[in-house]
Amino acid sequence: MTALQDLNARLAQKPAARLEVKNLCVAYGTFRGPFNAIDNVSFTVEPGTTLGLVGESGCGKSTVVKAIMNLLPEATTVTGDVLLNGKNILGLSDKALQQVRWTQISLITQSAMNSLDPVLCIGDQIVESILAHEKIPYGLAWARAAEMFAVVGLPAARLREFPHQFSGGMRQRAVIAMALSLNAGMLLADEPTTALDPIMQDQIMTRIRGIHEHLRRSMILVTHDIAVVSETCETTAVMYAGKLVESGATADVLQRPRHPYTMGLQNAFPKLPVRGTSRQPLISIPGTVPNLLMPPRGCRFASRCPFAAALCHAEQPELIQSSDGHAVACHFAERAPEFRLAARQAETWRAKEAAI
Amino acid sequence: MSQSTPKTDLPPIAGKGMLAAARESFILLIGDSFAVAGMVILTIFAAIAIFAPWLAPYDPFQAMLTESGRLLRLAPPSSANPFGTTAFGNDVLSQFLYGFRVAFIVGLVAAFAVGIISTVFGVVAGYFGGLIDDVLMRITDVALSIPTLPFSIVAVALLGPSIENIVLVITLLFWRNGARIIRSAVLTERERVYVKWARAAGASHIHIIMRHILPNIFRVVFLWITMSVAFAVLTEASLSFLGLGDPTVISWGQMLNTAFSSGSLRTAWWWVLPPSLGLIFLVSSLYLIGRGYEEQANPRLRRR
Amino acid sequence: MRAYILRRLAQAVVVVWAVTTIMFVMFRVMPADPTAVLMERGMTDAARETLIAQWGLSGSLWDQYLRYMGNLLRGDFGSSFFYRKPVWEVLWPLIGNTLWIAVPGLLLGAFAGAALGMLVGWSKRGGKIERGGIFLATIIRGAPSFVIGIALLTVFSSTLGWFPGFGMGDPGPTQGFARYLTLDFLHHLALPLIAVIIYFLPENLLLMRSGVVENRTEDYIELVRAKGVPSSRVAWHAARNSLLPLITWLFPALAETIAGIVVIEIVFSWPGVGRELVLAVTRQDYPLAQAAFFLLAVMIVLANLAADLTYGKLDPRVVYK
Repeated sequence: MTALQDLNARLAQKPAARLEVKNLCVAYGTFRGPFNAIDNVSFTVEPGTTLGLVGESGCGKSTVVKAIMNLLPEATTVTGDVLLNGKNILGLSDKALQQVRWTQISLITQSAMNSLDPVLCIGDQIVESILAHEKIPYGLAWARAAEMFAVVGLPAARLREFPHQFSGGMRQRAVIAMALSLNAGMLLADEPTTALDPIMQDQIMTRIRGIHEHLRRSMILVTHDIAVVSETCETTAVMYAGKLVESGATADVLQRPRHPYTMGLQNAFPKLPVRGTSRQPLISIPGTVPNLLMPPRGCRFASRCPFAAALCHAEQPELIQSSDGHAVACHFAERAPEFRLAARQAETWRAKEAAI
Repeated sequence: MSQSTPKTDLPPIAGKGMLAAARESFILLIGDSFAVAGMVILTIFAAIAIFAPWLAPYDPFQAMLTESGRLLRLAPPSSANPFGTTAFGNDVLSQFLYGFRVAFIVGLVAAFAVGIISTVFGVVAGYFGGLIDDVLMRITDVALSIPTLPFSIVAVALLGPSIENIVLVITLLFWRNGARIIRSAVLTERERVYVKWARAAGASHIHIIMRHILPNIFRVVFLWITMSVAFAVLTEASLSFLGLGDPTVISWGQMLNTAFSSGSLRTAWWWVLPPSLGLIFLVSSLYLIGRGYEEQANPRLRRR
Repeated sequence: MRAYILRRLAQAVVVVWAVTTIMFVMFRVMPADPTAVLMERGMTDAARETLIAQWGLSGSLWDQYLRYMGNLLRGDFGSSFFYRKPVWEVLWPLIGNTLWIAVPGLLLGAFAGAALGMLVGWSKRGGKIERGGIFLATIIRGAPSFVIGIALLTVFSSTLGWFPGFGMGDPGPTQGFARYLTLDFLHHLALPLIAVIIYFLPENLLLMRSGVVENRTEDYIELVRAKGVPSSRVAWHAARNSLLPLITWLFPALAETIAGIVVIEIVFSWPGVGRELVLAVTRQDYPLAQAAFFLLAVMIVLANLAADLTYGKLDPRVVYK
């Protein structure tokens, strides 16, 4: 067996990881007081599955990823537990973190545009991630990097090139190759396709799905694209204004949403018209996300929710999980079927818009 | 998703005045403790410069005599001469206090001249572009290869050592860097949406420059003027130290030149220390202001 | 790459030409009576005529300019009034002396400044290292070169007596390059060299620090941290990227730095080109002053060229056209 096959075999033996996030809270310190970017978020990623984390921009999805990776700025307060295979990795020492990062949990960043060091060739950046954790010769690490390039469909010759010589899609693939370099049990993909054009988005997502089938890593896929979630993820968690509003099996959450926000989110995305039905209009959710420097007392979605009652403005709903694992934070979750019907009507939302 | 109208952060079409820009800068400055320290030092120094004749116990050129009528050379500090005397029997404190004046006059006049010339050239080249811009860029390309101090040495020697000539040479030397910096700032401003709007609305060039361009490049001009004062003070001090200063006035560089050439460095610390510290504090306080300002005004440097 | 170097060389030639023209203006046009500047007191009329002929001071300004350029092209800068020999014979041996303090001084100052700047930039924002580092660097940056020189001279030479404070030492019997390899020479070199380093260091430190601070919030640094490399390696990435703006900043700084070296040569009586320039000016030895000025300008042009080519080596995004 060659050294490379040996290395590949050894890395392939790594099991997929289980990630449990419990009561995660993140507060950024600002001049005007703490900014509660994440409030009490909990979810679990079972080994080998993909969790889709959805929500509109600014809802805190990316902050969750950074908190899991311990990448938030020093002035941030992070509380709660992030259990990776049962071991809390939140607030580990720098040394201990270095050992966890990339060997057990790796990251596919948003904007691959700026995610690569502009003055280092891409091969060296992948090799760097390997050599930080494996005591192997440079040449072997380079061979592994070439292999990863093949996995994402890039020719090995281009390892010697610099980020500015790559197109956006190629850079994104290079970042994915880098994330795979040590076959970490857990992959965090933070909006991997946002900066790309639709065709490239589709190519990259197909690539990610292929890799997922093939390597069976656990993954968190952060996105604002519901269609991507429905195609890729076993479970889905919906975030709104720093809180988890709904989570469960993707089919449940997307087909039978129980939170009005999830219903609204679905309306806001174009669907392929089903033959024989009329084309559904795009309906947007009226209003804006509340200011988290002064979070509202009640449900954070209340000000935009067409079904909000007095209770919603007064009291925060708890995230309650039903027996099928479908969890929702809504005071009127039991009226979901009724809401779902109403939510399909544009008038429902327009009436709310008029009320604001 | 919400379909709220995009937020526009455009300033009102009328633009803002220079006073508003100056006030914004001041607010930024007092946010940085180093810059505040610099401003305090500078204010104290300016007060000393203004009141030097009243503060100085003697005329800076007056020779101190001992009781027996001999020249009081290199006397250590005493109650009569708090900072001692020089090798030529002059009172160090009085010379030191008058030195504030020269430093301030050179700094302010040169900065004023450099600031105005740089701004005019920078704005004209940046705003109108074209031939003026090309010529300016070629001139600064060459000028950047002229060694500054050697040029001043030769020029001052040829023109004759006087404060006026020193200021003239400093102005000749330093306008180029400023023009270049200000030009690139103007280029950025010129492309802003509100400038285009103002133009489309029929505003005159003068109006656009005064209300839109200048207030928005105030930060760059301010920084450049702080730096120019520092360069001017340093250049005058260096020239005087090399013996090319104005012989009719007393400057810190000259004091050090006399101390150095009379071989008194080792013994007369009271003679060497005041002008050295005066220069260090004056120039660093300018740098502290400039740096603190940059730190506050540059979002990538500001602490989050 | 080759074409690029050739083009940069051509640009350098244009700049040198412009500098010589400026020199012409300085030495011939600026003084009210150029002959008076060039004349020595008590010259005979015959000597005067020779000088006017030698310096090409007859005819129209345009004729004079052409003759002046012609002389420069032939490398003829005339003879020194003071030494009574061709200026090049005076200046040649001094070039090496200036380079001995300038090149190691600038390089060490840049390296030490960049290293310390990286340290300060990577330290905790608002912490003791950051605040202390910035404050010290700004104060030292505010110190004129002769104040630095005088301080070193007073402390380490006059008071402690550790280093000589004057000249380059006795050349002794050794000739040529070997004279620079003696302990005595290095002993003499120490203080002026340290002065150049201290003079040059703070600017580099502050620039490097700003660069590192700007870079440490960049996205790529986040990904490097996520890879689990040691934090020193993360800092290296930030520093490597901060070198680029540092080098672009050094171009205009070079001209000012040469200024510092001139003064330091005077303080330590270091027999270099800068000191000779000041001496020549005070002795009204204009042919020598002109040649020394020309040399210093050429040094800056060459240093700029070197910095430009280094930049291309460091930044893969630079394409040579």
